[in-house]
Amino acid sequence: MAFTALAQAAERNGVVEDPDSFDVRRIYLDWSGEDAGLDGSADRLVPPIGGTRSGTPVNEFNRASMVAAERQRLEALLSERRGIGTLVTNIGGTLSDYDPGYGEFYVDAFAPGSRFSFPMHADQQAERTLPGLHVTLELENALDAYVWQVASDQAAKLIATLEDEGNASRRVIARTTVRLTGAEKDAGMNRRLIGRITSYTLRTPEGTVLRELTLEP
Amino acid sequence: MKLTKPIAAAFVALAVAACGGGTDGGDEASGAAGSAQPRAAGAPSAPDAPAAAAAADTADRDCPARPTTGAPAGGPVDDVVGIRPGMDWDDVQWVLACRDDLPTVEAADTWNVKQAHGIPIRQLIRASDGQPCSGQEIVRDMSSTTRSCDDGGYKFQALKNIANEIVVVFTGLPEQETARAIWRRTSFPEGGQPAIETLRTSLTDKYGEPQLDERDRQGRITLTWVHDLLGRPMSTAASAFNTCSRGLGAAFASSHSWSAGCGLTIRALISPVWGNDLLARELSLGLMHQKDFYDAGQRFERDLLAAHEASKREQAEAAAASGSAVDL
Repeated sequence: MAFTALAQAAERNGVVEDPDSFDVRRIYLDWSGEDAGLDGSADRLVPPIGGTRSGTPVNEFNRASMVAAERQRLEALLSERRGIGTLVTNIGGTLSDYDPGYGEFYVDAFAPGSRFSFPMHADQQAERTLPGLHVTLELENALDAYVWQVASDQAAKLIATLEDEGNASRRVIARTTVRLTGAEKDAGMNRRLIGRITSYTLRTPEGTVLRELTLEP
Repeated sequence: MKLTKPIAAAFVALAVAACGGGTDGGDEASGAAGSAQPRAAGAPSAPDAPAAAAAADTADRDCPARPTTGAPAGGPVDDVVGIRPGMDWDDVQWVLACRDDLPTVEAADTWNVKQAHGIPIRQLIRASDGQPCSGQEIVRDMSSTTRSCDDGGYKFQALKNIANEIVVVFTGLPEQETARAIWRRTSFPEGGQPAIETLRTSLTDKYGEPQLDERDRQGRITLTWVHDLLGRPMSTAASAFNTCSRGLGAAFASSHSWSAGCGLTIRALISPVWGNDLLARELSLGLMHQKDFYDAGQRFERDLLAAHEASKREQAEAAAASGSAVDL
């Protein structure tokens, strides 16, 4: 069933930098309280009777203990990502054309309504431990990060900087700090972590800092 | 003036709805979005309890209508003939009942929700001046390339000679329905067809200058107004502009999509008279606050699921309380 879990953010002081999809799935399970299905996962990850596990034949007498050990291992993996309250991640995108009417750029990486996916974990074995659990990140205050008000003379300088770096497509990277606020599974079974951007630093791919913004303490 | 206008029952087949989600890469973003498409022609229909419940409703109030939901102060103009997003079911019925050009009002159950769980929801109202098609006319339509009967794309009653039509989409559990999107279609009679420029002026007088003013090869003109989440006309430099301006169809029976990153959106399609592209044959107009509709749709689906779960628990508890053992 759908649920929303709004845990006490104060109790979650952990920080994960550059999370991957496995991190995010574990953090989601912590926040949501959703059953991780470890019994089923452990049973699936241990070969059936007649197979081998780490060179050891699996039989009627040792399989139950192997499954129990596997379950313990999975539980330990989940524990590594309990109590996480902050993510720090790179979000890439482009800087819009300057709108002289409003005096604004738009940082499309933060376009309101966007949901962010995370790269696969490098270890494929780890990826297989929580199958079928796709989790995205939704930013509640994306609009505040998306609209960038800039005076026209300053805008011209920023554009010149991008042009000097041969960055005609205006690619930018936002090193973004997100404070998590909740986890949700909607009626369509889409799972997401919900968070608020507390700050970001916008850089060009060459590393030139274009903007440093703190939105929330 | 006092009006009493019955609402006819109708059944709608399940509309397709999709929610977007990210797919790859830490720096890739995808929008929270939804969509709906017209029901495939010829899809089966069946008697329907929710619509039957709607049939019992009757608008019976003094005219002109005085909706209890007022326009928000300071925001962009967001109504179609006085119907705006945020109005409740009764207010919408009231406005429709007070119009002389929309004598036939029908309700239907689902539009974009995936699963109503048997709850008698009402997502749609169609008001029009069409006349019911005979069974013979419907059958004739099925084997013809041109259609004279129109079910609105969502299995309303098949009607012919529709000159005026308004369709309103709602979200919300029964008795909590809130209007979210409005479509209007007007076919102008021969001899009464307005100049396209007059129509365009009327539209811009009401909604302001559109950000997009496009004419296709058939000479049809599409005007588009898009607002951002701050309630301002959206900058055409904004990356979301293309998505926000293209999702909503001007005609109800077309495909639609919406995004949580877009605000109030209005699209008007002016079709010219064949042989005279200075006169308007038909006007279609759609209006939706996309983020509000997206958010309300999410809440609606959650509320439906929660109501369904609660109902299941109540039934199980009642069965347990009855205490009758199963004879094995």
